[in-house]
Amino acid sequence: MKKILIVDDEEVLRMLIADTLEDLGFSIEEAEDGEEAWEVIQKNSYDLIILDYMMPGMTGVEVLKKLKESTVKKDIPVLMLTARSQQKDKEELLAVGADYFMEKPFRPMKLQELVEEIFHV
Amino acid sequence: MFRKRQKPFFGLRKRYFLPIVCISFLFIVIGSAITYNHAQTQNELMEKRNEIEMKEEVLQQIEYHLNKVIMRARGFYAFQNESELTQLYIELESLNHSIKALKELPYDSDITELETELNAFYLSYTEEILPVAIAYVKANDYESLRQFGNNGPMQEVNDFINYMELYLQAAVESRKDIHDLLLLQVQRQRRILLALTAFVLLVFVLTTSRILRYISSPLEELTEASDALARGEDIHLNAAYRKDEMGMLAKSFITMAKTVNQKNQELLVRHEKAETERQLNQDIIDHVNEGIQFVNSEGMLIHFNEKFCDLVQCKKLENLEDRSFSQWVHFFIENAVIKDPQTAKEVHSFFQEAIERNHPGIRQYRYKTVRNLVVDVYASPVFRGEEQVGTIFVHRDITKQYEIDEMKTELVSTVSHELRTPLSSVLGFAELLLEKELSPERQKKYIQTIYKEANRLTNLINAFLDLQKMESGTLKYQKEAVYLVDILKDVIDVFKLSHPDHEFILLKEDLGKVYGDKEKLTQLYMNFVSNAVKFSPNGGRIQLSVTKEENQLITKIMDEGIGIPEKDIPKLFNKFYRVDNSATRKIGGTGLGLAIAKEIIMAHEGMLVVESKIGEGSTFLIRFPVWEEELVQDNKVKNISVTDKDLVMVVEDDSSLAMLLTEELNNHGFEVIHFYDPEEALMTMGEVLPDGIVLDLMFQGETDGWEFLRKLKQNKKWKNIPVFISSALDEVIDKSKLYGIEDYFTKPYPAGRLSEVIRERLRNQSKKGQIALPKKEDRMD
Repeated sequence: MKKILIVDDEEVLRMLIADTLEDLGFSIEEAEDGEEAWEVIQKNSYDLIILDYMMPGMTGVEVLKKLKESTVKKDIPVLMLTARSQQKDKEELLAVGADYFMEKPFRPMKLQELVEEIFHV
Repeated sequence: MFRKRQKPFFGLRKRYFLPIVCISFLFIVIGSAITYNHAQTQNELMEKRNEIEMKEEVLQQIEYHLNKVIMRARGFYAFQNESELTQLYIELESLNHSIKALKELPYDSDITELETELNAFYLSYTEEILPVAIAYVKANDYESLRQFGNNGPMQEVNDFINYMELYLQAAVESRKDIHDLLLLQVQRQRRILLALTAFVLLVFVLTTSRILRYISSPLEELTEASDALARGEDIHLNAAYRKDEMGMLAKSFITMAKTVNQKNQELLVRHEKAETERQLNQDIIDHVNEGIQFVNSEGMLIHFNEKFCDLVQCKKLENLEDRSFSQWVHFFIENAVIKDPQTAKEVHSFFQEAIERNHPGIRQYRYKTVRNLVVDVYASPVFRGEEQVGTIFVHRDITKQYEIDEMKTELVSTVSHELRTPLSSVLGFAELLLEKELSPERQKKYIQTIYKEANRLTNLINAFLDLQKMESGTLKYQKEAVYLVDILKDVIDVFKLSHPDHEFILLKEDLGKVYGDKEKLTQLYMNFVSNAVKFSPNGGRIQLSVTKEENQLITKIMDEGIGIPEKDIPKLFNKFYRVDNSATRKIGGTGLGLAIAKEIIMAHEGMLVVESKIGEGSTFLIRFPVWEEELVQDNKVKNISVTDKDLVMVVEDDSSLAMLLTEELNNHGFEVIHFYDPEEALMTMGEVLPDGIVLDLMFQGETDGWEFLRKLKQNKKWKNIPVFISSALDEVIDKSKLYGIEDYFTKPYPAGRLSEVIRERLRNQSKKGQIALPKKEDRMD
C-alpha cells in the first residue's frame, strides 16, 4: 500500500485530501506544519508527499529544499499545493525540485486523478 | 546724453594767463626803462668823459706847447739861436691854436675862465714879456734880462705853468671821477637788474606755486575723491564751488560719481535680486523632496540640493561640487548605495550611460541605499538649444511607497490565502458529496464542515469589510450611553458555556457609562476575550474588570496564556499579523480581530495599553472617557457648594464640545452647569440662576435655541442674563441681535476665545436684575 504524507496547517484541508485519497486505498499520514513534516519524513518513508506552499514557521518550500538536498529522501515525489498568487514562484519550486503542482482551491477529483496518474493506477 | 560744455566764467587761462602776461610786460617795461635810463646816464657820462678827455687833450697840448714855448725861449735866451726863436714862434702859434681849440670845446665856465686866463697870458707873453726879453737877448744884456725876469714875468710864467699843471691835474682828476662814476653807474645798474631779476623770479615762483596749488589742490581732492569713490564712500568736493575748469571738472566728477553710484546701486540691487533669486532657487530645490544633482556634459558634478547631500552624506566631504565624474560617482557609491558589488556596478553604468551624449529621453534606475531606503533615480538630459549641456539626476525616495506596495502585495496574497482555505474546503467537500457514494455519516460530517467553513468565510469577509469601513471612516456608530459592565457580562456569558476549561471573572468596581455603540463595543470585547481564550490553550483564569480613574473608565482583560513576545506587540494590531511561533501556529482566526479592535477603540476616543509576559499571560487595558453627562452632573453638585464664582450654563447637545467648553471655563474660574436639552436647562433655571449662558441653537427636541431664548427674554428674572451663542449657523447673526445676544461664536471656534469673552462680559457688567443664587443649604438637599 502506497504511503502518502499530507502537510498542511489547515485541518479541514488535510481531512479533505485524506478522505479523497483514503478511498483509493492509500495509507495516509498527516503533518500540520513544516517542522513536524520534516521530522516524520526523516523517520518514515513515503511514496508521495503533498505539501502546502504557505505555512507558518517552516514553509513548504523549505521542507522541499531540505528534502531535495537530502541524499536519502530526494527521490520521493512531491506535489506542491500552491495558490494562484504563488504562480510566479513556480519556477523557484521547479528549480528546488518540486515534481507536481496543484492550485488551491483544488478539486478533489482532479487531485485523485493526478495521484492515480503518479502511481499509474 | 551729451550736454554742451559751458566755458567757465573765470577760466584758468583768463585767471592766470592775463596777469602773467601783464606782469611780464610790466617787468619788461620796467627793465627796459631802467636799462634805457642807465644807458642814457652812461651816454651822458661818456660824453662828459669824452669832453673831459678832449679838454684834457687840449690842455695837454696847451701845456705841451707852453712848455715848448718856455723851453724854446730859454734856448734862445741861452744860445741866441735864431732857429730857436723861429721854433718859439711856431710853438707860440701852436699854443695859440691850442688855446683857440679850447673854444671849440663845449661850454664850460672853467674853460672860459681858463681861456681868458690863457689869452691874457698869451697876450701878456707875446706882447709884453717876449719882445722885451728878445730885445735884451739881442742886446746881450743878460743882466737886464735877469732883472726883467726876476721883476715879475718869470714868476708870472712859472705861476701860470703851475696853474696849468694844476688845472690839468684837476682835469685828470675829473676824468678819473667820471670814470669812477661810470663804473659805479654800471655796478648799480647791474645790481638793480639783479634785484629786478630776483624779484621777477620770486614773483614767478610765488605765482607758479600759487597756480600749482590752485591747480593741484583740486587734483589732489579729485584723487582722494576717486579713491573714496572706489571705496564706495560719499564724495564731497570743495572744488565744485569753483567757477573754473577745476570746478567744472569737480562737478563733472561729482556727476560721474553720482552716475557711478547710481549704477553701482542698480548693480547692487540687481546683484541682490540675483542673489535673492539664486537663494530662492536654491531654497526651492533644497525643499524639494527629491535629491537633485546637475552634471555637466563632461560628467562633472556642478550643482546639487540638500536632499542629495543627505543621500550621499556629503557632510563627510568638504566640497562635493566640481568633482569629476569618477570622483563623485565613487563617492556616491561609497556613501549612498547599499554595499553590494552588483548594485555598485549597475549604479556606475547607469550614471555612465546617462551622461553619454545623444541619449534622448529619461532613464530610470532603482537602487537601495546604505540606510535601506529604496530610491528611484531618473536621468534626463538638459539641452540649451540644440546642445546638450548636461544631465539632471533626480533621486526620489520611494521607500514608503515601496513598502506600501509591498504591503499591498502582501495583503492581497494574505487575503487570497485566507479566503482560499475555507473556499477550498467548501468546494472540495461539496465535490466529494456530489461525486462520491458516501455513507450518511460522512455526508453529514461534510455538510457540517461545509457549513462551518462557509461561516468562517463569511466572518472573514465581514471582518474584512468592517475593517475597510472603519479605516475609511464610513462605518456609522450608533452611539448611546452604555454600561460597560453590562457588555462585559454579556461577552462572558457567550464564552462561559463553550469554554469550560477557562475561568471567567468579572470585577466591577464601577458601574460607569460610556458613550458608545453597544454592538461595536461588544464586538471589541468579544475579540479581546476570544483572543484571551485562544491564546491560553491550556485554560486558566480570564479576568475582566472595570474601574474609574478621573474621567475615564478602564477595562482590563487579563489572561494566563502564552503571552506575546515584546517585539511583536507593536505589530499586533496590523492586519493579518500573527505572532508566528510553534505555540501560536495552531491557533486560528481571521487575523483581523485586533486591527478591528484598534479601530473601535479609536472611534470611541479610547486608549489601549498592552502588557505581556511570555508564558505568564497578557493584559489588554482599554480606557474610555466617562460619559460626559455624568461628568456634568458631578460638576453641578460641586457648583452649589461654591457660590462666589460666576456660574455659566452651557446648553449644548454635542457632548465633546460641551466637555471642551466646561473644561475651558473651569480653568478660567467659572462654575459650569451643562445641559443637553434646553427644556431641562429652563427647568433648572427655576432653581439656579446662571451668570451667563452659552447656547447652541440647533437642538433635536421641540425646544430649540430660539425658543429657549424667547422664553428666557420673557422672564423678568432671566432676561438680563447675558447669552453667548455658540452655533454652526452663521446666517442668523442678525436675528440674534433682536434678542440682545451678547456675543456670537460660529463653530468651530477656539474655546479659549469664548472663555475670554465671557470673562470680559461678566467682569464688566453689573449684575443688575440678577437674582442671587439660591442658598447652599437649600441646594444641598
